[in-house]
Amino acid sequence: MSSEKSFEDLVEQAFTVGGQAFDDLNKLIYCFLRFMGNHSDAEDVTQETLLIIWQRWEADVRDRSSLKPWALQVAYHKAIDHLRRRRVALSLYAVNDPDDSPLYEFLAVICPEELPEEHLEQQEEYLEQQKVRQLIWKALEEVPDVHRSCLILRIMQSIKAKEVARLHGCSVRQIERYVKQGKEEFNAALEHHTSKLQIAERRLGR
Amino acid sequence: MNQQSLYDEWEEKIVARVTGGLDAEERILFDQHIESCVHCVQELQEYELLSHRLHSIEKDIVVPALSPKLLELKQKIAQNHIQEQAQQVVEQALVQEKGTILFEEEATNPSKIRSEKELERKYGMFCGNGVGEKTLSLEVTQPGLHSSTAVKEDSSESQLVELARRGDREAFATLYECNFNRVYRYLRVKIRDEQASQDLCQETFMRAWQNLSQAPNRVPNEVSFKPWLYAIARRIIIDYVRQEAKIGKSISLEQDDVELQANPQMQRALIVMGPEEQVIQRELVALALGQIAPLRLASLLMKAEGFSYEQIASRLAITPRSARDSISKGRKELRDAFLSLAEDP
Repeated sequence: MSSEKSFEDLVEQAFTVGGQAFDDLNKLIYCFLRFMGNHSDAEDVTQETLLIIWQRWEADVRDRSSLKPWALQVAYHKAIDHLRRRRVALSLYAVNDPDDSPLYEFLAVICPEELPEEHLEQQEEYLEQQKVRQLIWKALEEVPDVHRSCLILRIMQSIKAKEVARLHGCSVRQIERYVKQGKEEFNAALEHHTSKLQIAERRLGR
Repeated sequence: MNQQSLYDEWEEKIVARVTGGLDAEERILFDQHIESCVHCVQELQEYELLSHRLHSIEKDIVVPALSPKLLELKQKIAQNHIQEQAQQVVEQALVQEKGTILFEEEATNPSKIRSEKELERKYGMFCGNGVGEKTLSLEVTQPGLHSSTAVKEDSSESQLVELARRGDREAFATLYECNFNRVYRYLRVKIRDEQASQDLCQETFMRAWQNLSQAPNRVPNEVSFKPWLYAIARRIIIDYVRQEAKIGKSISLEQDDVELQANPQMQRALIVMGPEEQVIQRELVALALGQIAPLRLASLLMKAEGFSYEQIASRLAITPRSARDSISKGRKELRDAFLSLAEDP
Protein backbone atom coordinates (compact mmCIF):
# COMPACT_ATOMS: atom_id res chain seq x y z
CA MET A 1 0.00 0.00 0.00
CA SER A 2 1.23 3.42 -0.91
CA SER A 3 1.34 5.87 1.96
CA GLU A 4 1.45 8.84 -0.38
CA LYS A 5 -1.70 10.79 0.17
CA SER A 6 -4.03 12.22 -2.37
CA PHE A 7 -5.38 15.59 -1.40
CA GLU A 8 -8.29 15.13 -3.75
CA ASP A 9 -9.34 11.86 -2.19
CA LEU A 10 -9.09 13.47 1.21
CA VAL A 11 -11.35 16.33 0.12
CA GLU A 12 -13.86 13.88 -1.26
CA GLN A 13 -13.80 11.76 1.89
CA ALA A 14 -14.06 14.79 4.13
CA PHE A 15 -17.04 16.20 2.28
CA THR A 16 -18.95 13.01 1.71
CA VAL A 17 -18.23 10.92 4.80
CA GLY A 18 -17.00 13.60 7.21
CA GLY A 19 -15.75 12.32 10.54
CA GLN A 20 -12.06 11.58 10.75
CA ALA A 21 -11.38 12.64 7.17
CA PHE A 22 -12.79 16.06 7.89
CA ASP A 23 -10.48 16.46 10.88
CA ASP A 24 -7.55 15.29 8.78
CA LEU A 25 -8.30 17.81 6.07
CA ASN A 26 -8.63 20.55 8.65
CA LYS A 27 -5.30 19.53 10.18
CA LEU A 28 -3.57 19.35 6.82
CA ILE A 29 -4.70 22.78 5.74
CA TYR A 30 -3.96 24.28 9.11
CA CYS A 31 -0.44 22.84 9.19
CA PHE A 32 0.17 23.93 5.62
CA LEU A 33 -0.85 27.48 6.45
CA ARG A 34 1.39 27.51 9.48
CA PHE A 35 4.36 26.29 7.52
CA MET A 36 3.64 28.84 4.87
CA GLY A 37 4.00 31.52 7.50
CA ASN A 38 0.48 32.31 8.67
CA HIS A 39 0.62 32.04 12.34
CA SER A 40 -1.86 34.17 14.22
CA ASP A 41 -4.73 33.82 11.80
CA ALA A 42 -4.14 30.29 10.50
CA GLU A 43 -7.25 29.08 12.27
CA ASP A 44 -9.44 31.67 10.62
CA VAL A 45 -7.91 31.10 7.22
CA THR A 46 -8.39 27.35 7.58
CA GLN A 47 -12.05 27.90 8.31
CA GLU A 48 -12.36 30.31 5.43
CA THR A 49 -10.68 27.87 3.07
CA LEU A 50 -12.79 24.92 4.12
CA LEU A 51 -16.00 26.87 3.86
CA ILE A 52 -15.12 28.15 0.39
CA ILE A 53 -14.37 24.63 -0.81
CA TRP A 54 -17.56 23.34 0.78
CA GLN A 55 -19.70 25.99 -0.88
CA ARG A 56 -18.35 25.10 -4.28
CA TRP A 57 -18.67 21.42 -3.43
CA GLU A 58 -22.29 21.72 -2.49
CA ALA A 59 -23.22 24.04 -5.33
CA ASP A 60 -21.51 22.07 -8.06
CA VAL A 61 -22.85 18.61 -7.46
CA ARG A 62 -22.44 17.49 -11.04
CA ASP A 63 -18.86 18.46 -11.62
CA ARG A 64 -16.98 17.57 -8.51
CA SER A 65 -14.11 15.93 -10.29
CA SER A 66 -12.87 19.27 -11.62
CA LEU A 67 -13.38 20.81 -8.23
CA LYS A 68 -10.94 18.62 -6.37
CA PRO A 69 -7.70 19.91 -7.91
CA TRP A 70 -9.05 23.39 -7.39
CA ALA A 71 -9.44 22.79 -3.66
CA LEU A 72 -5.70 22.61 -3.03
CA GLN A 73 -5.21 25.80 -4.97
CA VAL A 74 -7.67 27.60 -2.71
CA ALA A 75 -5.59 26.66 0.30
CA TYR A 76 -2.37 27.68 -1.42
CA HIS A 77 -3.63 31.04 -2.60
CA LYS A 78 -5.12 31.77 0.78
CA ALA A 79 -1.73 31.11 2.32
CA ILE A 80 0.09 33.30 -0.19
CA ASP A 81 -2.48 36.10 0.17
CA HIS A 82 -2.00 36.32 3.86
CA LEU A 83 1.72 36.03 3.54
CA ARG A 84 1.86 38.99 1.20
CA ARG A 85 -0.27 41.11 3.45
CA ARG A 86 1.94 40.19 6.34
CA ARG A 87 5.11 40.97 4.49
CA VAL A 88 3.97 44.53 3.86
CA ALA A 89 3.15 44.95 7.52
CA LEU A 90 6.47 43.46 8.56
CA SER A 91 8.54 45.56 6.23
CA LEU A 92 7.01 48.61 7.90
CA TYR A 93 7.29 47.61 11.50
CA ALA A 94 10.13 45.16 11.71
CA VAL A 95 12.88 47.28 10.24
CA ASN A 96 14.80 47.39 13.48
CA ASP A 97 14.73 43.70 14.05
CA PRO A 98 15.19 41.73 10.87
CA ASP A 99 15.22 38.47 12.80
CA ASP A 100 11.66 38.94 13.97
CA SER A 101 9.80 37.10 11.29
CA PRO A 102 6.40 35.43 11.38
CA LEU A 103 7.71 31.89 11.47
CA TYR A 104 10.27 32.66 14.08
CA GLU A 105 8.35 34.81 16.49
CA PHE A 106 5.77 32.26 17.45
CA LEU A 107 8.38 29.79 18.58
CA ALA A 108 8.48 31.66 21.85
CA VAL A 109 4.81 30.80 22.22
CA ILE A 110 4.98 27.19 21.21
CA CYS A 111 8.16 26.27 23.07
CA PRO A 112 7.92 27.41 26.66
CA GLU A 113 11.42 27.39 28.05
CA GLU A 114 10.38 26.44 31.55
CA LEU A 115 10.62 22.86 32.68
CA PRO A 116 10.63 21.43 36.21
CA GLU A 117 14.09 21.93 37.72
CA GLU A 118 14.50 18.39 38.98
CA HIS A 119 14.94 17.15 35.42
CA LEU A 120 18.03 19.13 34.67
CA GLU A 121 19.43 16.65 32.20
CA GLN A 122 16.16 16.37 30.39
CA GLN A 123 15.88 20.10 30.41
CA GLU A 124 19.20 20.46 28.69
CA GLU A 125 18.24 17.86 26.15
CA TYR A 126 14.94 19.55 25.63
CA LEU A 127 16.57 22.91 25.15
CA GLU A 128 18.98 21.40 22.70
CA GLN A 129 16.11 19.92 20.71
CA GLN A 130 14.28 23.17 20.88
CA LYS A 131 17.28 25.00 19.55
CA VAL A 132 17.54 22.61 16.63
CA ARG A 133 13.84 23.01 15.89
CA GLN A 134 14.16 26.75 16.00
CA LEU A 135 16.96 26.55 13.47
CA ILE A 136 14.84 24.35 11.22
CA TRP A 137 11.97 26.79 11.38
CA LYS A 138 14.29 29.63 10.55
CA ALA A 139 15.89 27.80 7.68
CA LEU A 140 12.52 26.75 6.32
CA GLU A 141 11.37 30.31 6.33
CA GLU A 142 14.19 31.33 4.07
CA VAL A 143 13.18 28.90 1.38
CA PRO A 144 11.17 30.75 -1.32
CA ASP A 145 7.40 30.27 -1.14
CA VAL A 146 7.02 28.07 -4.18
CA HIS A 147 9.86 25.78 -3.15
CA ARG A 148 8.69 25.75 0.42
CA SER A 149 5.14 24.79 -0.51
CA CYS A 150 6.59 21.90 -2.54
CA LEU A 151 8.74 20.77 0.36
CA ILE A 152 5.81 20.86 2.77
CA LEU A 153 3.25 19.23 0.54
CA ARG A 154 5.58 16.68 -0.99
CA ILE A 155 7.99 15.72 1.78
CA MET A 156 6.11 16.55 4.93
CA GLN A 157 2.50 15.87 4.01
CA SER A 158 3.27 13.22 1.37
CA ILE A 159 0.83 14.63 -1.18
CA LYS A 160 1.12 13.04 -4.61
CA ALA A 161 3.55 14.77 -6.98
CA LYS A 162 0.87 14.92 -9.66
CA GLU A 163 -1.40 17.00 -7.49
CA VAL A 164 1.34 19.35 -6.36
CA ALA A 165 2.22 19.80 -10.03
CA ARG A 166 -1.36 20.70 -10.84
CA LEU A 167 -1.38 23.22 -8.02
CA HIS A 168 1.58 25.08 -9.47
CA GLY A 169 0.51 24.52 -13.03
CA CYS A 170 3.68 22.76 -14.06
CA SER A 171 5.01 19.29 -14.76
CA VAL A 172 5.80 16.62 -12.21
CA ARG A 173 9.41 16.94 -13.33
CA GLN A 174 9.36 20.60 -12.44
CA ILE A 175 8.00 19.83 -8.98
CA GLU A 176 10.85 17.40 -8.41
CA ARG A 177 13.23 20.16 -9.39
CA TYR A 178 11.52 22.56 -7.01
CA VAL A 179 11.81 20.02 -4.24
CA LYS A 180 15.46 19.53 -5.00
CA GLN A 181 16.12 23.26 -5.09
CA GLY A 182 14.11 23.73 -1.92
CA LYS A 183 16.11 21.02 -0.24
CA GLU A 184 19.39 22.64 -1.19
CA GLU A 185 18.22 26.08 -0.13
CA PHE A 186 16.95 24.69 3.12
CA ASN A 187 20.21 22.86 3.83
CA ALA A 188 22.26 25.94 3.02
CA ALA A 189 20.12 28.12 5.27
CA LEU A 190 20.27 25.58 8.07
CA GLU A 191 24.02 25.37 7.82
CA HIS A 192 24.28 29.13 7.80
CA HIS A 193 22.15 29.54 10.90
CA THR A 194 23.86 26.71 12.72
CA SER A 195 27.29 28.20 12.21
CA LYS A 196 25.96 31.64 13.19
CA LEU A 197 24.56 30.20 16.38
CA GLN A 198 27.79 28.38 17.15
CA ILE A 199 29.80 31.57 16.76
CA ALA A 200 27.36 33.44 18.99
CA GLU A 201 27.50 30.72 21.62
CA ARG A 202 31.27 30.66 21.60
CA ARG A 203 31.36 34.39 22.05
CA LEU A 204 28.89 34.26 24.92
CA GLY A 205 30.10 31.10 26.66
CA ARG A 206 33.87 30.97 26.76
CA MET B 1 24.95 15.26 -19.33
CA ASN B 2 23.59 11.82 -19.90
CA GLN B 3 24.66 10.91 -16.41
CA GLN B 4 22.79 13.93 -15.08
CA SER B 5 19.46 13.02 -16.69
CA LEU B 6 19.84 9.53 -15.33
CA TYR B 7 20.11 10.96 -11.86
CA ASP B 8 17.03 13.08 -12.44
CA GLU B 9 15.05 10.00 -13.23
CA TRP B 10 16.10 8.31 -10.04
CA GLU B 11 15.66 11.42 -8.00
CA GLU B 12 11.92 11.34 -8.60
CA LYS B 13 11.96 7.83 -7.24
CA ILE B 14 14.02 8.90 -4.25
CA VAL B 15 11.43 11.46 -3.19
CA ALA B 16 8.67 8.95 -3.77
CA ARG B 17 10.60 6.40 -1.71
CA VAL B 18 10.93 8.81 1.19
CA THR B 19 7.25 9.77 1.11
CA GLY B 20 6.11 6.20 0.63
CA GLY B 21 4.84 6.64 -2.91
CA LEU B 22 6.45 3.54 -4.41
CA ASP B 23 4.62 0.27 -4.64
CA ALA B 24 6.26 -3.01 -3.68
CA GLU B 25 7.56 -3.78 -7.16
CA GLU B 26 9.08 -0.36 -7.66
CA ARG B 27 10.64 -0.52 -4.24
CA ILE B 28 12.45 -3.74 -5.07
CA LEU B 29 13.78 -2.20 -8.29
CA PHE B 30 14.81 0.91 -6.40
CA ASP B 31 16.61 -1.03 -3.69
CA GLN B 32 18.46 -2.99 -6.35
CA HIS B 33 19.56 0.20 -8.02
CA ILE B 34 20.67 1.84 -4.83
CA GLU B 35 23.07 -0.96 -4.03
CA SER B 36 25.18 0.01 -7.00
CA CYS B 37 24.74 3.78 -7.07
CA VAL B 38 26.68 5.90 -4.60
CA HIS B 39 25.08 9.10 -5.81
CA CYS B 40 21.56 7.87 -5.15
CA VAL B 41 22.46 6.57 -1.69
CA GLN B 42 23.74 9.98 -0.81
CA GLU B 43 20.64 11.66 -2.18
CA LEU B 44 18.37 9.27 -0.35
CA GLN B 45 20.12 9.99 2.91
CA GLU B 46 19.79 13.71 2.31
CA TYR B 47 16.08 13.43 1.65
CA GLU B 48 15.57 11.21 4.65
CA LEU B 49 17.34 13.73 6.84
CA LEU B 50 15.24 16.51 5.33
CA SER B 51 12.06 14.57 5.92
CA HIS B 52 13.14 13.86 9.49
CA ARG B 53 13.94 17.50 10.14
CA LEU B 54 10.72 18.77 8.68
CA HIS B 55 8.69 16.24 10.61
CA SER B 56 10.47 17.16 13.81
CA ILE B 57 9.03 20.66 13.69
CA GLU B 58 5.57 19.41 12.81
CA LYS B 59 4.89 18.69 16.47
CA ASP B 60 5.44 22.37 17.27
CA ILE B 61 2.10 22.99 15.68
CA VAL B 62 -0.91 22.34 17.82
CA VAL B 63 -3.99 22.11 15.67
CA PRO B 64 -6.81 23.92 17.43
CA ALA B 65 -10.17 22.29 17.91
CA LEU B 66 -12.67 22.85 15.13
CA SER B 67 -14.35 26.22 15.24
CA PRO B 68 -18.13 26.17 15.83
CA LYS B 69 -18.78 26.85 12.16
CA LEU B 70 -16.61 23.97 11.02
CA LEU B 71 -18.01 21.70 13.70
CA GLU B 72 -21.46 22.45 12.39
CA LEU B 73 -20.30 21.69 8.85
CA LYS B 74 -18.70 18.43 9.95
CA GLN B 75 -21.86 17.30 11.68
CA LYS B 76 -23.93 18.25 8.68
CA ILE B 77 -21.71 16.17 6.42
CA ALA B 78 -21.84 13.20 8.78
CA GLN B 79 -25.61 13.44 8.92
CA ASN B 80 -25.89 13.65 5.14
CA HIS B 81 -23.72 10.59 4.90
CA ILE B 82 -25.81 8.62 7.35
CA GLN B 83 -28.95 9.51 5.48
CA GLU B 84 -27.40 8.60 2.16
CA GLN B 85 -26.35 5.22 3.48
CA ALA B 86 -29.73 4.54 4.98
CA GLN B 87 -31.37 5.62 1.77
CA GLN B 88 -29.18 3.28 -0.22
CA VAL B 89 -30.08 0.34 1.96
CA VAL B 90 -33.77 1.11 1.74
CA GLU B 91 -33.61 1.75 -1.97
CA GLN B 92 -31.82 -1.51 -2.60
CA ALA B 93 -34.45 -3.38 -0.67
CA LEU B 94 -37.25 -1.61 -2.45
CA VAL B 95 -35.84 -1.77 -5.95
CA GLN B 96 -35.43 -5.52 -5.67
CA GLU B 97 -39.09 -5.91 -4.97
CA LYS B 98 -40.43 -3.19 -7.19
CA GLY B 99 -42.20 -5.65 -9.41
CA THR B 100 -44.58 -6.73 -6.71
CA ILE B 101 -47.74 -8.17 -8.02
CA LEU B 102 -50.94 -6.69 -6.89
CA PHE B 103 -53.18 -9.58 -6.09
CA GLU B 104 -56.67 -9.59 -7.39
CA GLU B 105 -58.02 -10.14 -3.97
CA GLU B 106 -56.21 -7.18 -2.57
CA ALA B 107 -57.38 -4.99 -5.40
CA THR B 108 -60.94 -5.57 -4.30
CA ASN B 109 -60.10 -4.56 -0.79
CA PRO B 110 -58.71 -1.03 -0.80
CA SER B 111 -58.06 -0.99 2.93
CA LYS B 112 -55.23 -3.40 2.40
CA ILE B 113 -53.37 -1.17 0.02
CA ARG B 114 -51.35 1.43 1.75
CA SER B 115 -51.73 4.67 -0.10
CA GLU B 116 -48.73 5.86 -2.02
CA LYS B 117 -48.94 9.20 -0.30
CA GLU B 118 -48.71 7.68 3.11
CA LEU B 119 -45.74 5.64 2.09
CA GLU B 120 -44.06 8.64 0.62
CA ARG B 121 -44.66 10.65 3.73
CA LYS B 122 -43.12 8.01 5.94
CA TYR B 123 -40.29 7.41 3.57
CA GLY B 124 -39.60 11.12 3.25
CA MET B 125 -39.58 11.49 7.00
CA PHE B 126 -37.08 8.72 7.25
CA CYS B 127 -34.72 9.90 4.60
CA GLY B 128 -34.81 13.61 5.20
CA ASN B 129 -35.42 16.32 2.67
CA GLY B 130 -35.06 16.03 -1.04
CA VAL B 131 -35.96 12.40 -1.18
CA GLY B 132 -39.64 12.90 -1.73
CA GLU B 133 -39.14 13.14 -5.45
CA LYS B 134 -38.26 9.48 -5.56
CA THR B 135 -41.78 8.17 -5.60
CA LEU B 136 -42.45 4.68 -4.57
CA SER B 137 -44.84 2.78 -6.69
CA LEU B 138 -45.28 -0.04 -4.31
CA GLU B 139 -48.44 -1.73 -3.28
CA VAL B 140 -47.94 -3.47 -0.04
CA THR B 141 -50.19 -5.59 2.04
CA GLN B 142 -50.03 -5.57 5.76
CA PRO B 143 -49.35 -8.72 7.68
CA GLY B 144 -51.83 -9.94 10.19
CA LEU B 145 -54.50 -7.69 8.77
CA HIS B 146 -56.89 -10.55 8.62
CA SER B 147 -56.34 -11.60 12.17
CA SER B 148 -58.39 -8.68 13.50
CA THR B 149 -61.27 -9.26 11.14
CA ALA B 150 -61.01 -12.99 11.61
CA VAL B 151 -61.71 -12.67 15.32
CA LYS B 152 -64.90 -10.86 14.55
CA GLU B 153 -65.83 -13.40 11.95
CA ASP B 154 -65.09 -16.39 14.17
CA SER B 155 -68.31 -16.13 16.15
CA SER B 156 -70.43 -16.13 13.05
CA GLU B 157 -68.36 -18.69 11.21
CA SER B 158 -70.38 -21.57 12.58
CA GLN B 159 -73.54 -19.96 11.29
CA LEU B 160 -71.95 -19.28 7.93
CA VAL B 161 -70.83 -22.89 7.63
CA GLU B 162 -74.33 -23.96 8.53
CA LEU B 163 -75.80 -21.67 5.86
CA ALA B 164 -73.26 -22.75 3.28
CA ARG B 165 -74.11 -26.34 3.99
CA ARG B 166 -77.65 -25.56 2.96
CA GLY B 167 -76.39 -24.04 -0.25
CA ASP B 168 -76.14 -20.35 0.63
CA ARG B 169 -73.70 -18.91 -1.89
CA GLU B 170 -73.27 -15.63 -0.08
CA ALA B 171 -72.38 -17.31 3.17
CA PHE B 172 -69.74 -19.30 1.40
CA ALA B 173 -68.46 -16.15 -0.27
CA THR B 174 -67.91 -14.63 3.16
CA LEU B 175 -66.11 -17.75 4.33
CA TYR B 176 -64.03 -17.59 1.19
CA GLU B 177 -63.05 -14.01 1.84
CA CYS B 178 -62.15 -14.67 5.44
CA ASN B 179 -60.06 -17.71 4.76
CA PHE B 180 -58.58 -17.10 1.38
CA ASN B 181 -55.40 -15.46 2.67
CA ARG B 182 -54.85 -18.11 5.28
CA VAL B 183 -55.14 -20.95 2.82
CA TYR B 184 -53.19 -19.05 0.21
CA ARG B 185 -50.28 -18.52 2.61
CA TYR B 186 -50.32 -22.15 3.54
CA LEU B 187 -50.15 -23.17 -0.09
CA ARG B 188 -47.66 -20.51 -0.92
CA VAL B 189 -45.26 -21.81 1.72
CA LYS B 190 -45.55 -25.36 0.55
CA ILE B 191 -45.35 -24.58 -3.11
CA ARG B 192 -42.76 -22.01 -3.99
CA ASP B 193 -44.72 -20.95 -7.02
CA GLU B 194 -46.94 -17.94 -6.82
CA GLN B 195 -49.14 -18.65 -9.80
CA ALA B 196 -49.64 -22.28 -8.90
CA SER B 197 -50.54 -21.56 -5.31
CA GLN B 198 -53.14 -19.03 -6.40
CA ASP B 199 -54.67 -21.60 -8.71
CA LEU B 200 -54.57 -24.27 -6.05
CA CYS B 201 -56.17 -21.94 -3.56
CA GLN B 202 -59.07 -21.45 -5.92
CA GLU B 203 -59.26 -25.16 -6.36
CA THR B 204 -59.31 -25.75 -2.62
CA PHE B 205 -62.35 -23.55 -2.24
CA MET B 206 -63.97 -25.14 -5.25
CA ARG B 207 -63.59 -28.54 -3.69
CA ALA B 208 -64.76 -27.23 -0.32
CA TRP B 209 -67.87 -25.83 -1.96
CA GLN B 210 -68.53 -29.05 -3.80
CA ASN B 211 -68.16 -31.06 -0.62
CA LEU B 212 -70.35 -28.67 1.32
CA SER B 213 -73.16 -28.64 -1.15
CA GLN B 214 -72.99 -32.23 -2.40
CA ALA B 215 -72.21 -34.15 0.74
CA PRO B 216 -73.13 -31.96 3.70
CA ASN B 217 -72.78 -34.83 6.14
CA ARG B 218 -69.12 -35.27 5.47
CA VAL B 219 -68.45 -31.66 6.31
CA PRO B 220 -67.42 -31.20 9.94
CA ASN B 221 -68.95 -28.75 12.35
CA GLU B 222 -67.88 -25.16 12.82
CA VAL B 223 -65.02 -25.85 15.24
CA SER B 224 -63.04 -27.80 12.76
CA PHE B 225 -63.91 -25.89 9.62
CA LYS B 226 -60.46 -24.40 9.19
CA PRO B 227 -58.53 -27.63 9.76
CA TRP B 228 -60.88 -29.25 7.30
CA LEU B 229 -60.03 -26.54 4.79
CA TYR B 230 -56.34 -27.15 5.41
CA ALA B 231 -56.89 -30.86 4.96
CA ILE B 232 -58.41 -30.19 1.56
CA ALA B 233 -55.54 -27.93 0.68
CA ARG B 234 -53.10 -30.59 1.74
CA ARG B 235 -54.71 -33.19 -0.44
CA ILE B 236 -54.64 -30.76 -3.31
CA ILE B 237 -50.97 -30.15 -2.77
CA ILE B 238 -50.32 -33.87 -2.81
CA ASP B 239 -52.15 -34.13 -6.10
CA TYR B 240 -50.17 -31.22 -7.42
CA VAL B 241 -46.89 -32.71 -6.27
CA ARG B 242 -47.68 -35.97 -8.02
CA GLN B 243 -48.38 -34.11 -11.21
CA GLU B 244 -45.34 -31.93 -10.98
CA ALA B 245 -43.04 -34.81 -10.06
CA LYS B 246 -43.24 -35.89 -13.66
CA ILE B 247 -41.97 -32.52 -14.80
CA GLY B 248 -39.28 -32.50 -12.16
CA LYS B 249 -40.32 -29.72 -9.82
CA SER B 250 -39.52 -30.46 -6.21
CA ILE B 251 -41.79 -29.46 -3.40
CA SER B 252 -41.12 -29.92 0.25
CA LEU B 253 -43.83 -31.48 2.35
CA GLU B 254 -41.68 -31.92 5.38
CA GLN B 255 -43.39 -29.37 7.56
CA ASP B 256 -46.26 -30.79 9.45
CA ASP B 257 -49.28 -28.63 8.83
CA VAL B 258 -50.68 -29.29 12.29
CA GLU B 259 -47.53 -27.97 13.84
CA LEU B 260 -47.64 -25.05 11.48
CA GLN B 261 -51.12 -24.17 12.63
CA ALA B 262 -50.36 -24.56 16.29
CA ASN B 263 -47.23 -22.44 16.30
CA PRO B 264 -47.83 -18.84 15.28
CA GLN B 265 -44.14 -18.02 15.46
CA MET B 266 -43.32 -20.75 13.04
CA GLN B 267 -46.15 -19.60 10.88
CA ARG B 268 -44.70 -16.15 10.78
CA ALA B 269 -41.23 -17.43 10.03
CA LEU B 270 -42.58 -19.46 7.15
CA ILE B 271 -44.80 -16.76 5.79
CA VAL B 272 -41.75 -14.59 5.31
CA MET B 273 -40.80 -16.80 2.41
CA GLY B 274 -43.37 -15.30 0.04
CA PRO B 275 -42.28 -12.28 -2.01
CA GLU B 276 -45.17 -10.11 -0.88
CA GLU B 277 -44.30 -10.79 2.73
CA GLN B 278 -40.71 -10.00 1.97
CA VAL B 279 -41.78 -6.62 0.73
CA ILE B 280 -43.80 -6.11 3.86
CA GLN B 281 -40.89 -7.06 5.98
CA ARG B 282 -38.51 -4.81 4.14
CA GLU B 283 -40.95 -1.98 4.36
CA LEU B 284 -41.28 -2.54 8.08
CA VAL B 285 -37.52 -2.73 8.50
CA ALA B 286 -37.20 0.55 6.61
CA LEU B 287 -39.77 2.18 8.86
CA ALA B 288 -38.16 0.71 11.94
CA LEU B 289 -34.76 2.01 10.78
CA GLY B 290 -36.29 5.46 10.63
CA GLN B 291 -37.01 5.34 14.34
CA ILE B 292 -33.41 4.76 15.38
CA ALA B 293 -31.14 7.58 16.51
CA PRO B 294 -28.85 8.69 13.63
CA LEU B 295 -25.55 7.67 15.20
CA ARG B 296 -26.84 4.24 16.13
CA LEU B 297 -28.34 3.83 12.71
CA ALA B 298 -25.05 4.74 11.09
CA SER B 299 -23.06 2.28 13.19
CA LEU B 300 -25.65 -0.39 12.64
CA LEU B 301 -25.64 0.03 8.88
CA MET B 302 -21.86 0.07 8.76
CA LYS B 303 -21.73 -3.06 10.87
CA ALA B 304 -24.17 -4.69 8.50
CA GLU B 305 -21.86 -3.81 5.63
CA GLY B 306 -19.04 -5.67 7.31
CA PHE B 307 -17.02 -2.90 8.91
CA SER B 308 -15.20 -3.66 12.13
CA TYR B 309 -15.88 -1.75 15.33
CA GLU B 310 -12.59 0.08 14.94
CA GLN B 311 -13.37 1.12 11.38
CA ILE B 312 -16.82 2.32 12.37
CA ALA B 313 -15.36 4.22 15.31
CA SER B 314 -12.81 5.99 13.16
CA ARG B 315 -15.35 6.87 10.45
CA LEU B 316 -17.82 8.27 12.92
CA ALA B 317 -15.21 9.89 15.13
CA ILE B 318 -16.23 7.94 18.22
CA THR B 319 -14.45 5.37 20.37
CA PRO B 320 -14.68 1.66 19.47
CA ARG B 321 -16.35 1.09 22.78
CA SER B 322 -19.14 3.51 22.05
CA ALA B 323 -19.43 2.09 18.54
CA ARG B 324 -20.03 -1.31 20.09
CA ASP B 325 -22.52 0.16 22.53
CA SER B 326 -24.43 2.07 19.92
CA ILE B 327 -24.61 -1.02 17.72
CA SER B 328 -26.02 -3.19 20.46
CA LYS B 329 -28.47 -0.47 21.50
CA GLY B 330 -29.33 0.16 17.88
CA ARG B 331 -30.04 -3.54 17.38
CA LYS B 332 -32.35 -3.60 20.34
CA GLU B 333 -34.10 -0.46 19.17
CA LEU B 334 -34.50 -1.89 15.70
CA ARG B 335 -35.89 -5.15 17.02
CA ASP B 336 -38.38 -3.40 19.30
CA ALA B 337 -39.43 -0.96 16.62
CA PHE B 338 -39.84 -3.76 14.10
CA LEU B 339 -41.89 -5.92 16.43
CA SER B 340 -44.17 -3.10 17.47
CA LEU B 341 -44.66 -2.16 13.83
CA ALA B 342 -45.34 -5.77 12.86
CA GLU B 343 -47.95 -6.18 15.56
CA ASP B 344 -49.62 -2.86 14.91
CA PRO B 345 -49.03 -1.86 11.32
